[in-house]
Amino acid sequence: MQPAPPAYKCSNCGRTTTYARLRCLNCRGETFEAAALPDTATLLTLTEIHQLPVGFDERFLRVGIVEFAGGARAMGWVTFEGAETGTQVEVRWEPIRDSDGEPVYGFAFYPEA
Amino acid sequence: MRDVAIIAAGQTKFARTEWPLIDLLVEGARTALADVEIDESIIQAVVVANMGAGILNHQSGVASAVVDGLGLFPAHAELVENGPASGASAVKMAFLGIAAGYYDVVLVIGGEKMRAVNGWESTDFVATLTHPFAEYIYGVTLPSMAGLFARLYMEKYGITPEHLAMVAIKNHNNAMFNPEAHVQQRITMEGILHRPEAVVNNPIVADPLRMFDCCPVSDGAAGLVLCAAERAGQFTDKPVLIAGVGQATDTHVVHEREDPTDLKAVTLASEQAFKMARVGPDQVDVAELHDAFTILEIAESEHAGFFPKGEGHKALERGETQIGGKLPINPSGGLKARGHPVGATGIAQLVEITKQLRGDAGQRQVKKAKTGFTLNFGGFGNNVLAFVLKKT
Ligand SMILES: [Zn+2]
Repeated sequence: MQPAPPAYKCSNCGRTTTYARLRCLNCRGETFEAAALPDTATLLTLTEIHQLPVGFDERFLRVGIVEFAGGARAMGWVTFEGAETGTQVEVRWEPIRDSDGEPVYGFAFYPEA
Repeated sequence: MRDVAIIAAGQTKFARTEWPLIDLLVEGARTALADVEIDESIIQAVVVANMGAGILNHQSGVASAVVDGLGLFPAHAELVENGPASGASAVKMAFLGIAAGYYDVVLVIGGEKMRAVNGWESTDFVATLTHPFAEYIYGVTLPSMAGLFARLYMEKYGITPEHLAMVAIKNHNNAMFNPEAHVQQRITMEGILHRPEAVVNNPIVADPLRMFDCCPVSDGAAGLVLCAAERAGQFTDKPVLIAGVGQATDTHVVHEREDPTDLKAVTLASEQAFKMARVGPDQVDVAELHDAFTILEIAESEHAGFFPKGEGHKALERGETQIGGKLPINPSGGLKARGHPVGATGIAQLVEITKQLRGDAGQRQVKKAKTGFTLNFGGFGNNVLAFVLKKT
């Protein structure tokens, strides 16, 4: 079983981010509860990176930003060709790279089944 | 608050240099000091802008080392690190010290030695300004942040790759007349977009952006001497007044912005600078914008208030932003062709506007320039500074 993707919902105003924060961007609230993200999202924008930073051996990487129903957004890897703005994708939270032998988890976007 | 003037301005040639970082900064300061006759012992403080000495050059305590290199003891010295907006931030700190009456004369010097490392490492260095968990882990680069933005902005407003190329061609043309520019190479629409060999000559960096949509990686330094306006006449007959200063911040994670095509910090910083200077964007004769990527020159020209949203590329198409047009943008060549040693850039923009307002810009002189504007864009728009300068 893959772990669920992270989502932190502000207990005060409900704004949800996909990475941990100490303070809410909207209301400066400081308590958050775990939230569940939908399995799919809409691709807002994407790019194919051909000049990568040190530490990446890939020839290129596709990175995109998605929006979930409810408004939370996440950056992640677009794993397939032919995606464009508005494409519906399946969202997974999975090991995307290694750091000192430890897996680093991140968002990855797949074609919708 | 006292008025503050620029009494001297200079920069090194932006390029790749073998000089150590501190020597490069000292040389940048010397170009500024050579621009005015001044007893250097009256310089009370040195504010240094640099983003990457710790990462790129394995050096700390940079401001103290620069004062040492210049022999300006016991002048005060501080380093300002504010990402790619470090240069403008350093000028702002010097401005505040003089405006408050604490200092009369301050030297500001910004520089970066980026070519000390290879291209993959310098790309990673700049990427460290992105959010470590929400952005950086995915291998994003600054060109890719610009690529994500460009795709949305181009779709929204009908901007084509040709429009982006027009920015590059214009700024490369301008740099032909700037001996300090890093890149002096004329380019054509055919050569970078339409000929079959364009895919090799102008490869994709982060689509839709290609190599000629991105600024080069440069070494270089730029400096200014700031002085209380009431004393400026002692040193020069052409002081340039810092009439307006504005700054604004925005979210670290770009996708947290409600509308990711809205560069809110650019709008707010510009409005603040215009309000303080008591002029409107329509009164600006020449502007230096932060065109680290061609799309940014178009988007910033709108967000700063020079053109309505979605009209910047049309003004570009009509030639309004060329030298000789209604509002020349980046007569120096901009970051695109002058180069972008990150800590130097915000200062180099003010160096150019100072020269333009004094009528010292040679073959790239904008005629009858009286009011100038600069915009220094930090992060991917999360910390932006704007200045309005006036000829006195
Ligand atoms: Zn909240």
